[in-house]
Amino acid sequence: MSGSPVPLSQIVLKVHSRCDLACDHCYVYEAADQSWRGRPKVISDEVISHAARRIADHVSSHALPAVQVVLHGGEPLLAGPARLRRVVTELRKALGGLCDLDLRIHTNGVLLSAEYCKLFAEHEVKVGISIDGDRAANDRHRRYADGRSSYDKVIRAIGLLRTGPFRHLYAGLLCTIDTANDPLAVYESLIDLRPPRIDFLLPHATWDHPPRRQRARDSEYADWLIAIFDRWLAGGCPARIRTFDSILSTLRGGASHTEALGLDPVSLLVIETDGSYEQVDSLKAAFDGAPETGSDVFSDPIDLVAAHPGILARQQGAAGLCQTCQECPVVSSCGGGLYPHRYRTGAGFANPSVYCPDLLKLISHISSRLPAEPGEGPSTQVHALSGGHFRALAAGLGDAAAIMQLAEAERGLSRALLGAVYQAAMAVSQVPAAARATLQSAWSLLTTLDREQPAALGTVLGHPYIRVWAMRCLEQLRSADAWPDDENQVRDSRQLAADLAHLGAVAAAVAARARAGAAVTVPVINSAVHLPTLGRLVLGDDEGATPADGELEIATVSVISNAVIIEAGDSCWALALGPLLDGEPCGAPVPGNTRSGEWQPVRVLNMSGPRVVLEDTDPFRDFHQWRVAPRLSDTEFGQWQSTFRAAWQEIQRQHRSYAPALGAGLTTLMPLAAAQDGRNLSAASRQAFGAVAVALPADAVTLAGLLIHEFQHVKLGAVLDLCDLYDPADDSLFPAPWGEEKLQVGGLLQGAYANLAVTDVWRARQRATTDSAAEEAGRRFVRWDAHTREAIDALLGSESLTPLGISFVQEMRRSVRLSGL
Amino acid sequence: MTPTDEVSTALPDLRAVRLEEMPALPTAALEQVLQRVLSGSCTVPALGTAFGSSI
Repeated sequence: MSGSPVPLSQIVLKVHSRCDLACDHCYVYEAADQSWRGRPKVISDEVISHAARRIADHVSSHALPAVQVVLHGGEPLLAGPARLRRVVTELRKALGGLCDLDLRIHTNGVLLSAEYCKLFAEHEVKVGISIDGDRAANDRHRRYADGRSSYDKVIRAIGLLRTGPFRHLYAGLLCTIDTANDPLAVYESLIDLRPPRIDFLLPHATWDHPPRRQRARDSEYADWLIAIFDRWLAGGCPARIRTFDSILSTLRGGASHTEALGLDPVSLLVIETDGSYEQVDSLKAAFDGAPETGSDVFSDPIDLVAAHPGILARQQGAAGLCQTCQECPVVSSCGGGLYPHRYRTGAGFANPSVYCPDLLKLISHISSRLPAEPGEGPSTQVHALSGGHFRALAAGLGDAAAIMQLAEAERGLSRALLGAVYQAAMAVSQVPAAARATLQSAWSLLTTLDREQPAALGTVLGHPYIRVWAMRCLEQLRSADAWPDDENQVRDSRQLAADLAHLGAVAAAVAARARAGAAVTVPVINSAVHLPTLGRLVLGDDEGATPADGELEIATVSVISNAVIIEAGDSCWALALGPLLDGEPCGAPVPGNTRSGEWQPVRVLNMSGPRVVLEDTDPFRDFHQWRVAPRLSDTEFGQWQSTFRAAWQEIQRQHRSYAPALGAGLTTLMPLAAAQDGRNLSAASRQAFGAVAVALPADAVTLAGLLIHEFQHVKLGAVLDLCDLYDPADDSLFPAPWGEEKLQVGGLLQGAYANLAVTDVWRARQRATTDSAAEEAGRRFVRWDAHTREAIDALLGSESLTPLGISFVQEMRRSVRLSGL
Repeated sequence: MTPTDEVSTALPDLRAVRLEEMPALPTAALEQVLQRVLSGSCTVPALGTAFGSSI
């Protein structure tokens, strides 16, 4: 056996070894291993303390960023509220500040009460519940020893978690499969309980004790799950289903989300009520004593048990599997199935799973539902966001890697929008024929550049205002059918043609960045030819050259070996490519021009640190509720430069935790016109990732605060592009703690998320200043801290958040708690 | 969510689709993207407030 032990980041802590139900499919009591008979019923103070310390030592020695601890049994609620409080308090105390502790409890639910839920809410313990489907399905196995049904009590427990103040604790449902149950009835009954996640478990079995098959078919467990998968997919995947998510993820080359599938190293450890370490719990199904390791929390560090051969065996990937599995085409998704299911007396675990035919059929079926080639059929591929990045962003921060993941998704979104604009424009009859021809020409150039110069296209797609332009086009194209048949239609049609022609300007900018030979028609907008990300050529008046009122004026942009040539009417300008790409002044009129022209480059604000441009040229930047500033003079630009540089130093010095995200994601400052009453003005938009609009404030410290605040909106907007955090159809209104207005859930979430940072800013200022300035900053810190907590509580108490949204806001709350320590 | 989980997002990933292939995509493929940017899930057009009171 080779390879170093993988740190163990998932700990199952047994807090009670007996159960109040007598389910006949339970691996703890009904399987080969009967070690429970010799265990203490309840975990002792001594075991709790030692276990917490061992976990903390393991986290420290491996610098683990996060660890999950699942309180388990038997039935863990039998331990009672006082014992459970002791457990979670000890764990939080030992691990607080060391890592992100994800605490969970898995219960049969029959004893769950408001008292327990209050305890779990206090200590942020998420609750998973076992239920096998509707009443008939559940009561097939999940009964008391005297035969009574557990169903009503379990439903009552789930009801406690589904509504009201404990909703955010609802982690999901666990269902053990019995093929005697109707799969769709089971699925629908579980979905009706609105779980964030469902786990379907194959009943534990080995080659010595094969699974019961109702119809004696080799693959009836696959057939059962396939029926559910097809319904789940057709219904828009209303809850996460771990088995399906894992197969979909591994089929795309991603990670598995369960030890039952995939080749990821298993990082799970069980600590029993007597403090002994055990391997994965389900090994109890194999043979008596199978999970034992011979070590315990009193004598041994977790590193010792991490090197146990039984644990190492499941960290070897495909190399740890039998020959049959290694040669199987679905091995990367299957991973040989759950370890105990491979067991056969004499051969040990070097066998395929006893569910091998089921796994092969299920994975093949799911694979067949993925597009054979990218883009074929309804896309089921989605952008990825790692759990770690999600949590870091939810805590209000996020590092450069998290922001780069968001930026990549945003570029992908803008790219798809280019395609959507072209597809829609070619299908809408109200687009004039000439506009369509211009669009086709620009599209043709873009598709060539996409093939040959993808990096240059990627740079332009990162421009915040590409999406703003695309959205404007799409909204017009979507409303074109309703245009009235009068002169307004002519006006609307011309506006649409002008906007669509901007695709040529996008293509020209890409060609210039790629230094690729090209010639394309572009619109003249507001008397200027625009090259997005580069700048604009502002044209002087020329009565003879401009078209009749209302007609679209066009120009031609050509890229040759070392220059960009812009022709408008009879006049022509040559822009040297080097200075053009460096943002420097350039552009010379060709002799004989009848029209003046001035090239206005997009200017770079800073020469060191993150590259941020001052965008005062783009024609689609004017969409905030505040007026944009006109092109800045050189003197004004100099003021922006010096203030921004000082603001960046302030961020690095006083607000260091926000610097990585800003450094990676802030690409554009867009100047707003100053408010007449002297207020600070700033804005951000979900449509313009990377950009912050701001009127230059009086000092750099204020600019730093505004940038931090607005970039919170930028980050959250990108997360919302990826993830559904709340129900957009929910029009419930919530009082804003910081003002008089009432907000829908989206507005409240944005406000709370931004104010996480505002609170931090005031706290940092309190520390950085003295006397009255510190007192004032302290007062503001207290006020914004209270507002933020109130908003977070309102969000968590609402019915508007999705399960993912609840996770997000819980992380926000955790962040507030930590900041208050 | 375990430490190693990926969050299941709802934004279709079309990066592997070349631009030239996009017009031939089934409407549903791009529609999934558009639903996210045109529907209610994405209708905060421009946030922004006078933050004199907070910053």
